Amino acid sequence: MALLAVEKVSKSFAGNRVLNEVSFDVRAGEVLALVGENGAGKSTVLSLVTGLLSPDSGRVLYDGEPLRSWSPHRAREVGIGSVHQELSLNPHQTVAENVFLGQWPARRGLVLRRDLAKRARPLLERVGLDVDPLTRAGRLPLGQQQLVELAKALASGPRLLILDEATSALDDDQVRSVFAVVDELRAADSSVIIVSHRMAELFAVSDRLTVLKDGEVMATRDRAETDHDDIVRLMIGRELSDLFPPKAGEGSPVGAEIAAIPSEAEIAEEKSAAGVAAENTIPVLTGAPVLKVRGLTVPGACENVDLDLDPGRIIGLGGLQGQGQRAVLRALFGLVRHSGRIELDGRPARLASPREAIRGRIAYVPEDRKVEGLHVAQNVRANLSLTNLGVVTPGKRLLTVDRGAEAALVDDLVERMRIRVTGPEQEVRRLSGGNQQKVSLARWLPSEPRVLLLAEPTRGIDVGTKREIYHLLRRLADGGMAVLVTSGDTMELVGLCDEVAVMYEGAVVERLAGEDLSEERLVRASVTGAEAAPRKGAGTHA
Amino acid sequence: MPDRVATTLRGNLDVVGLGALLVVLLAAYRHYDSELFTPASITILSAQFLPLILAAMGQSTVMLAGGIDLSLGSVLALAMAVFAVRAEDGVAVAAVLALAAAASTGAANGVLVAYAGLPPIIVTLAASFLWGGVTLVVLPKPGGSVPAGLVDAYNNGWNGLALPFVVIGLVLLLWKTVRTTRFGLSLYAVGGNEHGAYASGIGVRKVKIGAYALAGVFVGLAGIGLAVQTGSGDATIGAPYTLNSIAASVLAGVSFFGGIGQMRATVLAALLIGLLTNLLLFTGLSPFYQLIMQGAVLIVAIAVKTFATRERTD
Ligand SMILES: Nc1ncnc2c1ncn2[C@@H]1O[C@H](COP(=O)(O)OP(=O)(O)O)[C@@H](O)[C@H]1O
Ligand SMILES: [Mg+2]
Repeated sequence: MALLAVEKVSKSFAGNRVLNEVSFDVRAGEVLALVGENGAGKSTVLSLVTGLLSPDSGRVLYDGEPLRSWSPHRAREVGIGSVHQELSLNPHQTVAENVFLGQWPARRGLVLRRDLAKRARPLLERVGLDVDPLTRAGRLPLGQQQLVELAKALASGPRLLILDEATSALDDDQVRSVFAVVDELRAADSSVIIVSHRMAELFAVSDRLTVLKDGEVMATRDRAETDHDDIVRLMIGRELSDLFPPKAGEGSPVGAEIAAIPSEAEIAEEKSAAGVAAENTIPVLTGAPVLKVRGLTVPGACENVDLDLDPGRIIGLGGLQGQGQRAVLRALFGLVRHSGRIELDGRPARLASPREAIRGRIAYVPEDRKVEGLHVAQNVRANLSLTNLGVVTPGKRLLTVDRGAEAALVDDLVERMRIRVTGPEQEVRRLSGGNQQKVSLARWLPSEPRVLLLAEPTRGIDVGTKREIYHLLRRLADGGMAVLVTSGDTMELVGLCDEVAVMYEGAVVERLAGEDLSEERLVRASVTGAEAAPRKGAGTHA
Repeated sequence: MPDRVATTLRGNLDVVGLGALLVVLLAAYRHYDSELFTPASITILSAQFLPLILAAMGQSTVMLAGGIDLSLGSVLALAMAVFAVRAEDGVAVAAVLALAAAASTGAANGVLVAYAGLPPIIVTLAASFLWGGVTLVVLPKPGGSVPAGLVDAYNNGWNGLALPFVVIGLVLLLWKTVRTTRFGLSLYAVGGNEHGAYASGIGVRKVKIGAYALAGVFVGLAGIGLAVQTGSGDATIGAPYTLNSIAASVLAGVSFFGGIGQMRATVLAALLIGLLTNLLLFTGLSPFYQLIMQGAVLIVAIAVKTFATRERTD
């Protein structure tokens, strides 16, 4: 019998349906891999199981019983242990205190530090972690923190262990100790649900794979009956090669002069042109970099980063989450104080505020659209014209907005970007994630930026829109723009970028391009030094 | 071994720094008041500073859990009023009533914060009017009477014993015990990473309510202390304690975001603020300039502290 059965659960956030009648089950003694792109709904469905969220409809059965009055507390009580994607450790408490977070063993009401440390040790050993249980958790490198999370999940002796990207920051040795734990659990007839972006790992450890795409289950396959390509095809709903445009120098810049999302016909045309182009390679637009960055340092976030952003090229910033990628982008847009030498078109530039960056024709599409990018409570029209006041308030009008010019601008952008809106007056928060992202991008187009900075450009966006955005970015590059993208999605970086700079603890540790730019190399470079000494700058205070 | 010393020092940076500052301040104080280190002087000063120290401990408690309490002054005045009004019926009964009043208003604040889903700063600002009004109902104009014997014993020592010192010792002991209970650990866990604490099965709401209630106990003690010190009750006397308690907590290194801080440091910081106020009084500056000076010194102290302990940015 299934230990856990998810039956037709649906879930929406603010009107956006994130899960649509999702069903799958996990048997006792089985390891199930849940795969899907970023934003497919994996974490959301697992949150329903661990009691962080409750479903809008459908139900979850555990041990044959439907879950009622569900909460993380209850889930833990019945033997569901979980390692969530975001760490749930308290960085200011000790490793031992964290391992027993919320269920500290007490003697006569008092929790004794030594006692905690003694009990934590065997758990830490089990996950292959050799650290002093009295160290503060925040002082450990990310990988070790993930292992502390695992020890914490094991502390209550789970019958179902949920690992949501729990191995993302681990090096090979650490991954092996996690898999040893998974094998132990399976042997003891417990079950595991594992989410990871490293396909090879999933094939090594799972019994079955369930594929989610845009909030729906595409298929569940036995491991023996499937392979890497089959799973990827299910994940993205098409061939991988169809998702990404050809890279710089491989395609012909068909229609590069118009900054617009290409239609299906145009994509097909570009693709066939790429085949021809592969034979007589078109030279990449060369020339001096638009933006030359040397020794960029943001205290506590990134150190001595060198970058050359050339027109016509898409550069990626890879690595684990939070290794300083965001700081690089924000510094280049003048949002954080930084030091280092920056040259714009060969001339030294000071990017002390977004105003100066914009004057240098640098555009920034942030990761959190709602905070740094869009005014979500306002409508599409206001959002699109706000960054283009020069266009909508022509000189002769002095200060007031020319409604006619504004309407023309908005209509043009909505059409070029294929933004699906009911009209220009629709509030941005009512749009789907993909259309919000399009608005976020569209607002920069009229000013024709020369450098485009994007953080996680496709997070939480459906595959169709992703593909549109990839093609748009390539078009913009072909038109002479220099593009810099950060992404936690290795497939995206490999498929889209001409070169990827991998960051670790604030420094660029490797640059991959051409043949070397593969998911495997990228992952390996990302965890370089993950077992190194305590993280610089992490953690303060007692 | 030197490593360990360094670690210990780093871990207690706040306490060490505050201690050093205290020495400087005491030296300056001595300059104006040569009697400073006599038992009589120590007793009367500690009697004077006790309310702020206790209030600051209350504030630190909620701040550790990631909250803040702008109604602290009102709750303090409420406890003071209840105690002063009922002191004639017996000091013990009055103290229990005052503490009960403070703890339950604290818990009520906690319920509002935990369930309203509004930022604590707004909830407790509203609550400060509520409790302020209640206090005026209890004690419309200054009055009530605390037995003279108690006032004398508190301010001038009891058989040579400085009672306020005893209280501080007991309260610190109480805090140390609380810290080692599950509740105490949960308090730090919720303050350090609320979502993580929730995801780990901690009853975040209960912990918040508990934190505010415990703070109510500290603040109630502060109110009683103030009533005993002054010999009567006054519904309007609490206001400065709100901001002073926040200032002391911040100076002590209690994080505004919760999860970080030590009560020892809070006690020292409150003491510092009390001494500073007195010292400015000695200088004979006009009260207006005293306020300006006090503000300036606080800003500098906090800025230096923040700068010295800043490691992580972005
Ligand atoms: N709390 C939330 N509020 C609004 N949208 C959310 C929330 N959590 C997740 N989403 C959205 O739900 C979708 C699925 O997210 P998630 O389950 O995290 O995907 P995955 O784990 O597969 O990458 C995304 O589009 C994401 O933006
Ligand atoms: Mg996820």
